[in-house]
Amino acid sequence: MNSKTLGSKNYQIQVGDVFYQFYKKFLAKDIIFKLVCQETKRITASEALEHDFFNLKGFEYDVEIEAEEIFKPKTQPSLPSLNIMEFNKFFLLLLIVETFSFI
Amino acid sequence: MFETLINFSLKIQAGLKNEIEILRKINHPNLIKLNSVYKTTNSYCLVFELFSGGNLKKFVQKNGVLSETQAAFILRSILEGLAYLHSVNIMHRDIKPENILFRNPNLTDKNQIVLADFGLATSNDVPEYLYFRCGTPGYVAPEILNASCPLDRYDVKCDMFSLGVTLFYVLTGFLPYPRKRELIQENMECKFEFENPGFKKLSDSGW
Repeated sequence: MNSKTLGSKNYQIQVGDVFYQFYKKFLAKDIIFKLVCQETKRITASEALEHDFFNLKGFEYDVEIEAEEIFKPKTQPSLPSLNIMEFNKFFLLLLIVETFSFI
Repeated sequence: MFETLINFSLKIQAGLKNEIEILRKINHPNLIKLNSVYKTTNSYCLVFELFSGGNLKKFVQKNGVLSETQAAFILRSILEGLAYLHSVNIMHRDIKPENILFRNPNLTDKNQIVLADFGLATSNDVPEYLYFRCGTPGYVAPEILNASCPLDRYDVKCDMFSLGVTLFYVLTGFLPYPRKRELIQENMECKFEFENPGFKKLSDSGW
């Protein structure tokens, strides 16, 4: 499971993907609520810019989001390939070492 | 009848002049820039930069609803433009996904996102416009719909309401009012429906 960092510069915690998604959802509802509430309680544009929803990506406040990363097409992560030849070489070397150490 | 048409035409002209004046005043990477204006015998031509990336509504219709991070990225750019606009005492009054344009189809940085259509924009110092009912049903702030006399003045915060509805739309694909037939009434009463299926579904992990 991947993990994300939440928090400010002073206090950070590692959380799993599901918690991270719930947190993003919560932030989305929170900012919408603050934008559509009664006129007297509604936040201004500068206040909204300070909201955590608009400072996503781990929620470190000074991190600039990179657009290419956000809008790149979703692809399935590929499994790390196992190189059999490399593995055989390693196994042979291990066998030689073990043999010599036994002798 | 003829007099009414002349008055209507004069109103349109006044609105257009107001739009041109505002567009000439503003200068921000996330707000549309007016290049030049030509006047012919019976019309005005406003020349803008070409935006080949389409608008936010088409983007959502083509690619589906946005993830929270994508929505935050796009609307943050618009918020930066709005913060500037409000700092010079101008309100847009027609924020909606159709008026958020992309310079090109590949969103590579935040300056590719621009707020357009200043046809309803006004300065805060024009008293007769500050209680004028205008905007797009569903996105318009309730205080605009309820305004009817000079005492009911509204201010730049009306844009924030429209931005909130826009954010709701891009995240769920729906407007926040459950009964479409009573859209204006629900918009006026600000009856928001957060129990939307779009909010129950979690985004893909990571971005």
